[in-house]
Amino acid sequence: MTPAQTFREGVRDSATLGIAAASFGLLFGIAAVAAGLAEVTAIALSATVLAGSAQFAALALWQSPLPYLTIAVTVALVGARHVLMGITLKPIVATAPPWQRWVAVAFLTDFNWALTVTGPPEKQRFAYFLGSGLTLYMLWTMGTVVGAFLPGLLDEATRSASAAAGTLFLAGIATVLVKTTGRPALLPITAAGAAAWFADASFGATTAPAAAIIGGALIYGGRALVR
Amino acid sequence: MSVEAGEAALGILVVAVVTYATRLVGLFLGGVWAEKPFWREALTVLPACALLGVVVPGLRAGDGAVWAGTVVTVLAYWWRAHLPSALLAGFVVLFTAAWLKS
Repeated sequence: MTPAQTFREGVRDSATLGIAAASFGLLFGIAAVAAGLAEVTAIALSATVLAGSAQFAALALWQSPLPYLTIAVTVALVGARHVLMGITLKPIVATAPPWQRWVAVAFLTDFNWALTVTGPPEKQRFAYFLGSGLTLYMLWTMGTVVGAFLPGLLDEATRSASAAAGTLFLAGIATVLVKTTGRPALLPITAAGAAAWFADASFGATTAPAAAIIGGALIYGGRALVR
Repeated sequence: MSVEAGEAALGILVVAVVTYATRLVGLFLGGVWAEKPFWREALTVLPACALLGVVVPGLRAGDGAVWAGTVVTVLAYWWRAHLPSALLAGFVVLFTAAWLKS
């Protein structure tokens, strides 16, 4: 299969899942304008960040004077999973020139990462990753444009359901990874879920991703040492 | 108090740079991934742990529709191993439950 064909395959596969990306982007546009952001600010955030959880976390802190350090720490905590996903991208992007790697990594999201690591053979994954990444980027940004300029588009029930669409997707990805890895994943995953639950209840939602990583890593590493 | 344009631009820059940095750091650390089986397995398991850190607060804050949609997505994937179909089933349940509730 040629890189162009693999690219098109990435576009096609991500278009199916793009429903969730567009609806989440739409919701971000609505939420951002409701929180007092100018339409152009909401759109610029989506166009330059491309990370729903980080954007929503920043939105909660978006009041003058902006607490830049708090925003940076919060976004880093919420985005900690991107470090792990970025590591797994190394063999996928290794064949591309450095400048293409630097550009491509900007399109790393939960959505296209999951599609790519479970998708085509390793040598063809870079074109696939670019195809799915660019498609999701466009759908995400377009969703925000619509949401920012038509904030009354959704009723309350549909709005809350759209907000939850991302949760379903992430639960689906977690299931893919557990099923791919098999038994070694089950205990760390359980520990990660428990740690996330405790951190969310005790310290707030923004601490849950980092707590889940630490909880899972401790159990996984500890068990590997025992073996 | 509303945020002025210059302040907002700097805020956007902070969010964009930090998010990009989290992605880039992973790419720089990625050298060990391809070579050592332990890291290959660990780095497949740990992103799933990280994703749960985003899913769990969503479930905790969500209502019955979110739970129902999530359970259907997970079970449908486990049964058929096809993510788009599993998600479609989950979305149908989620939006139907939300519609019934309204």
